[in-house]
Amino acid sequence: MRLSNAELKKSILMIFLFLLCFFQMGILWSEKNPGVLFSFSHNARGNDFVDIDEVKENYYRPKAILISSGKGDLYWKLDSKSNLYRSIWNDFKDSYLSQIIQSKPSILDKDYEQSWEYLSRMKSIIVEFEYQIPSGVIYWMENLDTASLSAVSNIYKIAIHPSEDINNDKNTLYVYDGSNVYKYVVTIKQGNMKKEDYIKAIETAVENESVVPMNRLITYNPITDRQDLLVCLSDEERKIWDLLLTTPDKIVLKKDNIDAVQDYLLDEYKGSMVSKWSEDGSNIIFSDPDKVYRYYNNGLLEYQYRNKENVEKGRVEEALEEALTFIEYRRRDLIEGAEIILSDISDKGRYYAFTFDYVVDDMKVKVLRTRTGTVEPAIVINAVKDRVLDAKWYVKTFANNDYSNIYNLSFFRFYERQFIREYPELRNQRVISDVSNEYLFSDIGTRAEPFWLIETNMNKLIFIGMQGEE
Amino acid sequence: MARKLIFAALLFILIIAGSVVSMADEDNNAVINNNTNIEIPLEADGNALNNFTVNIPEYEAAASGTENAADESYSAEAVLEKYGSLFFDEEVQSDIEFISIINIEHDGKSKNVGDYVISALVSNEADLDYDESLILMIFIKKDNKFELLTDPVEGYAWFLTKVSCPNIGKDNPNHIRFIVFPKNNYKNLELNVNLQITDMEHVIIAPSKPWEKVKKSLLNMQQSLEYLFNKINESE
Repeated sequence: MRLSNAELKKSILMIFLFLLCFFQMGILWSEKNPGVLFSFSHNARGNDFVDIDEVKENYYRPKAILISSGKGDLYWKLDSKSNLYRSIWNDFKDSYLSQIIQSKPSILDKDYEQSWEYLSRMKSIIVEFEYQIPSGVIYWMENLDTASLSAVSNIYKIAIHPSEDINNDKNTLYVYDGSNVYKYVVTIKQGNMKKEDYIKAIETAVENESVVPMNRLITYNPITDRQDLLVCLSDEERKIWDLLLTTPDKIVLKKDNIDAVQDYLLDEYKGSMVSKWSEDGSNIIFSDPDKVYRYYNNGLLEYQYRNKENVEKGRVEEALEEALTFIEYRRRDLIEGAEIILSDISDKGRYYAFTFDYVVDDMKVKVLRTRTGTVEPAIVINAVKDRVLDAKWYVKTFANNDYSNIYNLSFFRFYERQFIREYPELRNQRVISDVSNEYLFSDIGTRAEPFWLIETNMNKLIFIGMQGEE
Repeated sequence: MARKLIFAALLFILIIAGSVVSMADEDNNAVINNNTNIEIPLEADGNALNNFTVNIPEYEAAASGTENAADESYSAEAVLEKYGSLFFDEEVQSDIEFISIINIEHDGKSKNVGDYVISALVSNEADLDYDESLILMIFIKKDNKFELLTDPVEGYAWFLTKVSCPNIGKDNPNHIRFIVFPKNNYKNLELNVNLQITDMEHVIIAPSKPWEKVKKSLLNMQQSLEYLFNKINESE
C-alpha cells in the first residue's frame, strides 16, 4: 500500500525526532559517564599502544620566558598562554634547539660574552628552564641522531640577542649551562618568527598586556644571595580558583572495583599478581616475584621493582623514556584538568630520579603530607635504561572548586604583611633562595589552594597561604 | 489517532528522560558523597591547609591591638603640624638610623624619566618589637620649602615606594629628606632618640633628545673632517 504524501512526511519527521532523541541520550550518557554494568572497555584498554614520541614534548617546556628591558633589573615575564610565548617556544622546539645541539658554538670574542650575568641584563629574550636539561634528553626530545656529540652538555638558560647579527636570517643565542656560556648563531628558518618580530617584542614589552613585571630581588632587598632570583614587586593581581582534586572515579579503591584498579594502574602482566588488602582497608598490595604495587585510598600509587641490584643504568634519555611510558600508560582516561611536566632530573649514581609536577594555570600543584608537614612533588620516578625502579604518584584528576579570589602577586606586599609577621626572626635576614606561587593540597583532602612557597638556604621550605581580597 | 498519541507520549518520555539525565549530578558534593573514596572534603573557608602554616596568634592579637590603639589617634597631618619646625629645620640631621636606603631605581614601567622606586630596609640598629611599625615620610625641597613627595608609609621591615622627582638635570639635583620614627612614639618624637632625619641628593640625568644626538654626531663628523684636513695639510 502506498503511503500518502502527508503520511510519508510524518514518518520521516518521526524517524528524525527518534534519531535526535537517541543522539541526545547518547551525548548526555557519555558526558555524565555513569559507567556500564560490564567491563569490556577495560579489557580493550590493555592492548592500547602508547606512542611516547607523540606525547613526550608535552612534558618539557620553559619555566619562564622573560624579556629583559636592558635596564639591569627589570624583566617582563610572558604568560604561557600568550601568542608570543607560544611562538618563541615553537621556534625553539622546531628549530633552534636542534641547531644548538647539532652545531659548534662560535668563538666568544668579547669579554662580556663570557658573563651570563651581563648578557642577561642586556636587551634580550631569555628562555629559562627549571633544571639543567642534559643534551641527551634534548636529542631524544627533538628526535635527533645522537651520533654527533654536542659541545654543550646541559642547557639551563638561553638568551636571544636578535640585534647582534646583521644578517636578517640569523639570530644570536647565548646558551648557559649553569657555569659556562656558549654562543650560537642560528638560522631563522621558514615558519620561525622573523628577526624584527623578536626586536619588536623587546621594544614593546612595556605595552604588552600579557606580561608581569619582575625585578631582581637582591637589587631592592639583600635577603637573598641569588643574583637571578626574580620576584614581582608591583601590585599585579590575578584571579585564582581553588582546585577540586579527586581520585579518578574509575580507580576509587573499593572492594568491587579491584579489576578496574588493576586494569588502569598495573602493567600488562597483572594476571599473575597476588593482591592483599591491608587490615584497615586503606590500601591494597599487588605483587609478584619482580614487583610490588601498593595503592592507597587517597589515590597514592607506590611501585617498587624488587631486583634493583641487577639493573643497568644506561643513558638519561633511556631512563626518561621508561618514566614517561610509566606515566602515559596510566594517565590516559584518568587525569583531566592538569598538565604533567618534568620538573627535575637528577643523577643518583645507580639510577636517575625524575620529578614531575601537575600544573594548572602555570602553577604547580604539590602535596602537603599531613603526617610529616612536608611539601612533596606529586610524582617521583626512579628509573634506569630499561625499567622503572620506584615510583610514587598521587593519581588525581582536577577541576575548579567552588571558590575563587583575586590575589596580589607582589612579593613586597607578601613579605611585609604576611612573611615578617609569621616569621619575625627572619626579618631582613639573607636566607631566601627561591620564591614561587604554587597550589598545595593535603594528601587526605580534596582541595588545593594557592600558597607562597619560600625556600631558604637552611634547607627549609616555608609555605604561607596567599591572602585574597576581603 | 492512537498512533499520534503513542508518538507524542514516546516523545515526552524521551525528553523527560533526557532532562533527568542532564540534571543528574550538577552538584560536585553529590559526586564526592557518592564516591566511596575516604578523602576528606575541606570547606572553602575552613581551610585545613592553613593549619600547617605557622601562625602566631599571640603576636597577631598583639599586633592588631597595638595597631588599633595607635591608629585611634595617629594622623600624619597632626604629626606634621606638631613637629613641623623640627622636621623642616634645614640644618638638622640625625645620627640614629632606623632605616637604611638601599636603592633608588628608575621605575622601568614608567616612561617618565623622573619616576623612581625607593627601597629602604629597617636597620638592625632599630630595636623594634615584632609588632612595632615605622612611619616613613619622604619630602622634597622646593623653593626652600619641604613638600611631601609621596604619602607617608608604614612598614615593619621593608619600605618600597614610588616617587616622582621633579628636578631633572645634573645642575638641578633633587634634595630629598627622609623622616622616620616608630609609630608608637609619635607623641614624643626626639631627634636621635626616636627620630631619624636623613637628607639625600638625587641627580637625574636627562636622556639625550634625538636632535641632540644628531647635533652631537654632526659635531663629531665636523671634528673628524677637520682632523683629516689638518693631517692632509701637514703631510703636504
